[in-house]
Amino acid sequence: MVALRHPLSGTVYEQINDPPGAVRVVGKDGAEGIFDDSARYLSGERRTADIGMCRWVSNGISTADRAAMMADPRKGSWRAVGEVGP
Amino acid sequence: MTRTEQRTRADRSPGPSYQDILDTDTHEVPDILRMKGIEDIGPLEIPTDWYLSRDVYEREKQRIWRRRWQVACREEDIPEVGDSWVYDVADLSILVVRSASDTFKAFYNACLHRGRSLRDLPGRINNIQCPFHGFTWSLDGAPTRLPCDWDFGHVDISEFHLPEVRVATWGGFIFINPDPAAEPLADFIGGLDHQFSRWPLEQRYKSVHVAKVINTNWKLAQEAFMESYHSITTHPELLPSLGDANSQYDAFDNFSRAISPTAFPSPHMTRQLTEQEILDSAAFKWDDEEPMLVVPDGATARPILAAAMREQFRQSLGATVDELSDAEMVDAIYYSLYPNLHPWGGCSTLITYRFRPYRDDHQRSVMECMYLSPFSGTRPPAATVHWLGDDENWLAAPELGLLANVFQQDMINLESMHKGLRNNQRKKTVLGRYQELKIRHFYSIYCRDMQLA
Repeated sequence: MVALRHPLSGTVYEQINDPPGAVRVVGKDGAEGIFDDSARYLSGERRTADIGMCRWVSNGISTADRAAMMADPRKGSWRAVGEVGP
Repeated sequence: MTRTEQRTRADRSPGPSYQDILDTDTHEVPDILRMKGIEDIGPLEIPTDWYLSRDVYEREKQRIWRRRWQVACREEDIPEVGDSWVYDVADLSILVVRSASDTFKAFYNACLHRGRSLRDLPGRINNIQCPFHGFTWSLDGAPTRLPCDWDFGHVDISEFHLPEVRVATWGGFIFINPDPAAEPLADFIGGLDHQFSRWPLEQRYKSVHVAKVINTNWKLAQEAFMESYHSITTHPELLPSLGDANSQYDAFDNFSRAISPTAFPSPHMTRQLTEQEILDSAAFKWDDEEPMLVVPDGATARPILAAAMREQFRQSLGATVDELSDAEMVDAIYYSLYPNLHPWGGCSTLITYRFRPYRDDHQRSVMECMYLSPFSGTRPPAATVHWLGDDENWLAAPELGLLANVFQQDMINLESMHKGLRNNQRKKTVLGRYQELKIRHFYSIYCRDMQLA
């Protein structure tokens, strides 16, 4: 599951892709809302969301997919440590 | 040193300085990272006209793009004799040719007959021939064929050598400069060469090259990539592992530098993080996934991430990885060479950005991202340019890896900046004195070039 807690607010952002690109946002108070990757409100009780987090989570890819993506040595790129262990 | 210690200077962020963080490195830190540059230079306010005015843009064409050294392409973009490249910036078009194995030539991209551009695309050529009527020059610009020369008795063929543009190389980049009186490239590069002495870019190859036309002024676009200050809002996911406000900013002659510590939490974090949380963030772990790297008891995140990066690059960099500092392996060390090149330093795959006006439109620009990767053995071929269409976003370039998603966040701001500036009632923007030093430094040179107060 692609989900991440906002480092400052603690609000949880979860990729749900239903509709495509949608993000479920759940605040500490439990209020939940659905937003697109531009933090545009789609549904739910919660009406506000962080646009940076919405975009990051909406477009986020799972670690497994990232590891496959980085298997191409040309893309041994920007902090691609997913497939590397100490 | 603790991560929560109070500031020692009122004009700097709370918490340790970047130099304090270097003191914790597990390896010897190179002198270049200890070096400090100018900390206060350039204007603190920028008139919105400098982005919006066509008149200002017209002056840029004359005073910057026709006078300054600028990157046309990489040497490996034209690896064989006869390979050519077309570099367009504003209304200027330059044809770059490898005329001999170790010689590059650059010409104004215009036929001396009727003025058609000689080349529209990169590619291999035996000679330089205009596609219109066939006027032809050798690879070094000497005229070789004038079809129906009986009709051009009034033309002095000795004056038909293609007008050249100065060309020189640094770090595997081919630079051009239309100004015959410009200082030598080596003088222009100055101390930047020393900065990259441990990370020679000529020993890298261009593994990725993605370009996209952005609906914003070229200066606005590049300014979004010249500071870490915007991370707190635009890239909040980075905060547990990016010391955004701990960054060090330095200005030098024609270039500037920022260094942002990685696997080190932002001073903006309001709670104490575990070292595992910091490392998880640096590795972009999602909340419910198992850690990809584990911090042993008593250890800290930075050296663990650096060790992982050393292993990742051991094959291409060899045993030298064992001599490289943690900082060189993990930190964001990003330079800006006036006017528009932004090469990253360090030892992993290095990002290089370039921004330039698109065609002759001051309201649009080309944003390019190249990856310069280490390699072992034979130099791999350079990546061709992947141009994203107007209806494509950065995610259509999966070769960028995670950076594509970071760019998608930056795009939140880029085009809205141009829109917002038109409605800025102060008619000027304001810059942070330290965290936006690189932008201020750019404008210190820009003002000189443009003869602006």
